[in-house]
Amino acid sequence: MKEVLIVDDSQTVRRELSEGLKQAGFGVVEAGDGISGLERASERDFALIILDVNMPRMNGLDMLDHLHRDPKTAKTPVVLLTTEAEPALMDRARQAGAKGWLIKPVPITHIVKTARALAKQAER
Amino acid sequence: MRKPPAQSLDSNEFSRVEAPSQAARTALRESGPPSSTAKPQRGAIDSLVQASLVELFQAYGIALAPIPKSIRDRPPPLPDVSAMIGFSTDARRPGRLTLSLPSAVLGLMKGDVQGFRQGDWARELTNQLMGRIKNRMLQFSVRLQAGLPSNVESKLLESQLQGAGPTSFYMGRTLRGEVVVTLEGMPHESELTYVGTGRIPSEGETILF
Repeated sequence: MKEVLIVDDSQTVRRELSEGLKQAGFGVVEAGDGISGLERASERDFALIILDVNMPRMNGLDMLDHLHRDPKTAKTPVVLLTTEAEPALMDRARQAGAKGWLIKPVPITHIVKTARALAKQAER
Repeated sequence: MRKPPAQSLDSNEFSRVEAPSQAARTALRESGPPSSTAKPQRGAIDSLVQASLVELFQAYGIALAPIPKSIRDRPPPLPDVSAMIGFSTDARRPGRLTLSLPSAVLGLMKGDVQGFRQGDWARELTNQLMGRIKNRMLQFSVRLQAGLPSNVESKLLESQLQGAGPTSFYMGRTLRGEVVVTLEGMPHESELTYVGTGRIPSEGETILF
């Protein structure tokens, strides 16, 4: 089963994403901040990481930099799911290797579709 | 019960309610009781905040209608759940956005999510409202740096707002009660210069790199 790591400080957001992705056949692991997210990401290979930007302890863009630098996680597809729409932040994410940027609120059907597409792309 | 169609809402009917400074309060007292029909002028920031609030609730299936109000010198009674987020402007001026809403409205939005917690969702909504306001301020070349949202007791917030500086109040009505937003520390309208939206994406957009 392909697994998705969801990193977001809102439990409601994590649970809702988790329920939708599980119904679509994904396994899901959750983390509530960037530090916990990095720990979870290093434990196994994920088909996709969904990452919030504004979080306590470590924000999503800093976590993305860490993931990109670590050979174990550098190739894992990452998308940012955030309220931010500032082009400079998106550029930073793109340069750090992110595959996409989703601006909240995004319907769960779109997120499942994106997860399927990116997980398939990563298989090739 | 059938919800009123969201399209019927006109965010321009919102009113901005200013909490006057001490000097303004004195002036108001000296000039007699405030007129119950007085309506402060709406500016770009008011329109932007009002639209952001209506659209945010609409995105979660809640129709929110504006409540016209007159000038008042104290905050309205706040609904039972409140959250706030601090921010700063380019000029390093501190600001604060608060969102207060009834628990019934929170439940209507996400009550079916397993393990749902009202405080958590109120924080997330406040964060998303801040995000919308931030993104819309980019058209005026104003960058707001926001912190992380936190919960605050509504009664405590009410007492804080009594002694606060200039504060804008934005109110809306839903089928399950009223929603109150307060905003402090935004740049003055005269400081804004419209530079256009360029290519600032909207909420709900998926951008694949």
